[in-house]
Amino acid sequence: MRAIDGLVIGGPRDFDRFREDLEGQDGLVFAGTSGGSRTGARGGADADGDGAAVEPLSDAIEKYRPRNALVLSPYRGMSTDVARLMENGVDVRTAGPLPASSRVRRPPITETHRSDPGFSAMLEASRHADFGDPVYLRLVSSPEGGKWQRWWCVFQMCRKAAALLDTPLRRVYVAAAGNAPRLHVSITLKTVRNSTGHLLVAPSGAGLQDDLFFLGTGGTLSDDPLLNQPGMYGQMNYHMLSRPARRRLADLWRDDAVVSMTGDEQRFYQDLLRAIGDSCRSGRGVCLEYPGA
Amino acid sequence: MTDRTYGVLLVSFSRHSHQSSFVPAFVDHPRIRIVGVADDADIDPYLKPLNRSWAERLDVPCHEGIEAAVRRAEVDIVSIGHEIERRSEIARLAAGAGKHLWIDKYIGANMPECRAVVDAVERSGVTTILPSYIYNDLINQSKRMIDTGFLGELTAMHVDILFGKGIPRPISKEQRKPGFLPAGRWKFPDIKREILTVGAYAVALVQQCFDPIVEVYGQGGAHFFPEHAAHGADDFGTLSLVDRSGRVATISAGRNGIASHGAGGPNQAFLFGTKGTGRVDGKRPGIDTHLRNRIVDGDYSVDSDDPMQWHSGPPTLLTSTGLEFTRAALDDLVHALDTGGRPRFTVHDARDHMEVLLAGYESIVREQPVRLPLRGEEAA
Repeated sequence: MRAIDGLVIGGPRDFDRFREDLEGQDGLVFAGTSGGSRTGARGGADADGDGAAVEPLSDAIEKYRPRNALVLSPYRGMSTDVARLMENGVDVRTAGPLPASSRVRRPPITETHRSDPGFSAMLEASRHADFGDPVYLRLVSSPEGGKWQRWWCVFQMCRKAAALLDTPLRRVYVAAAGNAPRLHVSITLKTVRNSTGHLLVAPSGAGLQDDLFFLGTGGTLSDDPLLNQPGMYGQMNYHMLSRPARRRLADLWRDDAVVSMTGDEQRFYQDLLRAIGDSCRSGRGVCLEYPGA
Repeated sequence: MTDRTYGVLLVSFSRHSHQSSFVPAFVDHPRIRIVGVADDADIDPYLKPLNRSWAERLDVPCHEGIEAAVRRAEVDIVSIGHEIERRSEIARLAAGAGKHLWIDKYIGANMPECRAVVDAVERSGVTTILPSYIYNDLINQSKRMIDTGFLGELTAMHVDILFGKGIPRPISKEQRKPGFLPAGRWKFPDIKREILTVGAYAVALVQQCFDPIVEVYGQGGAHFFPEHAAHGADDFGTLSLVDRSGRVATISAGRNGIASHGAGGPNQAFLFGTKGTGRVDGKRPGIDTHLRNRIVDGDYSVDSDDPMQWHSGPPTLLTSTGLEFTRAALDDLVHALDTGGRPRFTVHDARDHMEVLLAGYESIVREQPVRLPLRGEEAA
C-alpha cells in the first residue's frame, strides 16, 4: 500500500481545476465521484511518479490510509464515507454541508474560492478605494451533477458573495426551474447594507465557471471566462482551451478557508436546499431570511 | 403594395422622452413625412420653446392644443413623447380619432391607464407600436440564438443593462430618504426612476422569450446618486421574474455613472437552456476603439443642464456596428399599415410590460414576491 498524506474526492471538473497542483505531489491521490476511473488522464502523481489517472473512489478509501481528506463534490454514499474516515482519525473537510438527514459528526467546511487566484485579485480590486462601495454582484456557474451538487455550488457562491460584498447576507429569494440534473437555480440576495446580487447556477454549460460582474459606486469589475480562455478555430467549430486554474489545494486547508457557521446558519442552508426543490415543484420563488441579519 | 406616405404628428419633445431621437428615422424614411409638432397649452416652461424650435428646424407647424392637431387630415400617425402621466389620455384621444400610434416606451402611468389605452385601440382598430424595446441587437441576437435549438429548451435568463451615465457621488446618511418610494410618482426634474427607465428594456427582452410572467420579486435601496437617494427612488434595482411555465429570469438594471464600462454600460443576456448556455452582448457587433487622443483628452465632464445625461451618450471605447433600432421599428410599422398586420410590440405588450414593472416596485416596497395579475391598489 502506498503511503499518502491526502485524499481528494471530486468530479472531473474538480480534477481539472487542481490538475496542475496535483502534478508532482506524491502524497496526494485524487478519487473520482463519477464512477469509473479516468484512465489516461494525466494529473496527480501515480505510482511511477509522472502523473496518474483519477482513482476510482470505491478503491481509494480502502486502498490508502490518508491523514486528511477533502471532499470537493458531494456524491451518493458520502456521509458513510465521511463517517468512516473520521472514525479512523482522518482530518476531513468538505466543500459544502452534509444533508440534514445525515447523523454524521459534521466535518469543517472549506471555502473553495480561497484557492482561486482570480478571487484574490477580484477581492483586492474591489477593496480599493476607487471601486467605492459594492452595489451588486452577479455570478454564473454551471457545475456538473444534480441537485445536491448545485446546492453546494450555491453554498459556495453565497460565501463568495458575502466575502466580495464585504457584508453578511440579509435575505435571499430562491427560484429554480427545470428538472435535475438540468436544473437552473437563481438566488437573488440582499445584504445588510442593501447591496444586492444574483447567484445563478446554469443547467448546462461546460466551462462556465464563475462568470462574474461586480458593480461598485466607483465602477465595474468583471471576469468573463469567454475572454479569459484562449480560443481555437477548427475546421468546423470554435473551441475554447480551458485556462490554467493555478489553484492550490493547500489553500483549502488554511484556517481562513474554514467556514464558521452558527446552528441557525447551518439550518439556513438546509432550508435553501429545500427551497430549491419547492420552487421547482411549485413554479414560485421562496424567500428566506438569513439568520442574525 | 402601396406607396402612400404617412403623415406623423410629433406630440411633445418632453425631456423625459425619446421624441428627439426618433426624428432622424422619421426624416430619413421614404414613406414617412413629419407634418407638425403639437403640445398642450399648459406645459413646463422649458418645453414650449423647445417644441417651437423643433418645429422650425423641421419646417412644420407648431400647434398649441393636442386634440385639434391630432384630428387634422394630414395626420396618420401620432408619435407620443409626452410625459408618462399624459400618454394614456393622448393615446386614447388619438385612437378615438382613428390615428395610428407610435408611443415612446409607456402607454400609461398605471394599470387602469394602460388598460384604457388597450380598450380604446381595440375599439378603434388602429395600428400601434412601441418602438424602443425589441428592435435592437440584444433581442434580435437572443431570439436567433434560441431559434437555433442549440441551447435546448430555454429554462432561464439573466439580463444586465446599465447606463454608464451621470456622476455618482458619496451619499451621506442625512441625504438618504428612508424607505423606498412606491410606484406612481414617475416625474421629477432631476431624476428618472431607473427600474422603469432602464429595467424596462430587460423586461421586454424576457417578455419576448418567455410565457406571461406570473411572479415578480424586486430589490432596490442601494444608490449611486445623491439625487435618487434624496427621493428614496431607484437609480438601480434587480428584478426576478417567474413565467407561467416556471421559467426564471433575473435582471439587473440602472444608471451607474460615466466611465464605468468600456461600452458605456453592459447590455447583455445569458440564455440558460437544457443543452447549453448562450451569452449575448447587445453592444456588439462593434469595433473596439482605443484611440489615444480620445482617451487622454476624453471629456468625461457632464453638462450641468443634463446632469444625468438623458440626452447625451457616454464616451465609449466601442463603436457599435449594429442596426439602428428606430428604423427597424418604423419599417415594421409601415409594413403593418400597408398589410393590415401587427407590429412586433403593440399596446397589448406594453400593458403587460408595465404590469411587470409595477409589480417589481410593489415587491420592493413589500419586500415580498408579487403575483400577477395585479389587483386593486397594486395596479393603481
